[in-house]
Amino acid sequence: MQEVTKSLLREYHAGRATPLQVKLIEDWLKNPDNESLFYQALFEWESEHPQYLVDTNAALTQYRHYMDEAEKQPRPQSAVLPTAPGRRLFSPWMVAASSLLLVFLGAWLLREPLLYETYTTSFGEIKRFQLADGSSVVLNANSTLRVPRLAIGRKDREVFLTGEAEFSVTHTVDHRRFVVRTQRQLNVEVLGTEFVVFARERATRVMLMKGKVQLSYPAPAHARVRPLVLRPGEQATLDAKGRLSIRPEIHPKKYNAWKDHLFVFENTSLREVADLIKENYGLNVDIQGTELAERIITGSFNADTVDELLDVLKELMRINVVRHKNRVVFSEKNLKP
Amino acid sequence: MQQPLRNSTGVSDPSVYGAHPSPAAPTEGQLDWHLNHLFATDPRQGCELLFRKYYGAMCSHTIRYVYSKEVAEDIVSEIFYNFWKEKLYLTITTSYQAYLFRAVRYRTLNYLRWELSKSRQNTDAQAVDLADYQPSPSEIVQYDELHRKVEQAIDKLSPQCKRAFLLSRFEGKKYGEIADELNINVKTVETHMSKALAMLRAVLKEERLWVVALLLCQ
Repeated sequence: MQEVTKSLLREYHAGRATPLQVKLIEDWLKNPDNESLFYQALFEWESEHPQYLVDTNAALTQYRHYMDEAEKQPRPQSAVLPTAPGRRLFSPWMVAASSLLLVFLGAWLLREPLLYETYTTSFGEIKRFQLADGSSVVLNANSTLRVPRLAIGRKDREVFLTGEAEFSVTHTVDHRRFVVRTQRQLNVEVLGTEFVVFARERATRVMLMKGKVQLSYPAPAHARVRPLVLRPGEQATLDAKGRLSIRPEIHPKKYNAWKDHLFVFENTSLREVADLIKENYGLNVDIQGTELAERIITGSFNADTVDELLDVLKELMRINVVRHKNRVVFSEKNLKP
Repeated sequence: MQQPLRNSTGVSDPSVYGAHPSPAAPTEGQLDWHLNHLFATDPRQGCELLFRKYYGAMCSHTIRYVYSKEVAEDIVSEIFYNFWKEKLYLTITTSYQAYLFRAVRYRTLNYLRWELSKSRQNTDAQAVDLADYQPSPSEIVQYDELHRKVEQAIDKLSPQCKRAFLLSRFEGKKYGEIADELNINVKTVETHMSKALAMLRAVLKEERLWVVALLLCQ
């Protein structure tokens, strides 16, 4: 008769054991001492055949955090222990303490809306507004700008951007810096000037129109953060892979044309146009054929709505454009029907 | 013929459990001895050590049943959280490894029971104390059988449907991303997902009788 060996247990966990072998293992498990060996084989099997990539480090960080938190608060053992007779469960002090706790908790939960004013634009919407210091902002579609409500105690004027915006920053009497923070930790620091920041998933871009700005970003390989100065007409791009490049831009106007509902394309591929439509209008664009995706457009057009833009593209590129709700399909026009 | 395991003293075949441990890698026994010591002096280190060693394998084991990365990770994390908070490491009588895997299987069953009945009230994860959960050999074997049945059912789905389902549940991809990757539209992804989920539920429901029985007879 066969014995329960390591290799048999492996076969079992791989799902290759015969019913007879399974029965054998079942009998073998009747000895409680064997349980640990059974789980040992299971552990080895699972370690060698992971079902998916588990991010243990991230989970461990959370676990450490949890242990820190649990250590800070006393264990809720008192609930289990018998309370002393006559001791009131809700003493006035307890009530006072818990209401205070609630107030803090509330303030903590509400800290976002309390501390920041948030400006948001929906798909296809462009908003213009002025900040408390007199600087003005034009926010492009599908973008968010968070501005601290209280300037007190802050050395810098700091705002947080996701999406795209044009800033026209006023110079303050006390020369306070104006800092635009983006998700990719590319920060733009200025005193007073005009520039456009584009901070979306595919890249972070800064186009300087006037004056001088300083950029800071986390340099690769944990090097020191290197400040970089941008001169008027220059554009800095931090791509999705974290590479920063700076180059002069001959047509700076094309980076803030959007505020006048103007689309400026210059050797722009249809794929990039599709990205733009997705970012600004929330439509998923499906381009049929890689060749079509690489086709290039040049020119500037005025379009107030996404449908107008789609019409322009259809006419200009002689392609089929079909829109169904949130989905747009670009396809080659069949010349020979 | 190989010696049976329980009286394996003197067996030199390394493939048989209980054979002499190789000096290079510490055996489970040695590790447990080390852990006992650690839990007596620095329990935090002990917890971290167990976490680092077993978290991944436990998640991988659980996802075979729950088919969702998030759920699997929640179940496993919960075990480690309790392990620390309730100082469970002081109560372990088996090997730490056996305890953790028994716990993860127990909690997964509880989750499946909840998922199938969808009534939160009487399916508190603490309904049956883990300490009392001593599955019989046949229950252990049936539990392993369950994920094979689930796997077989998933394999019967069309390749595209299966792929969409696994991309969503194992890799945590959004429907839009799956649509792009498979070059299909989002609506189709949605159809695939509901089809696969229905299939998964059907298999679990079929097996439900014993899943429930297993927990009730404790």
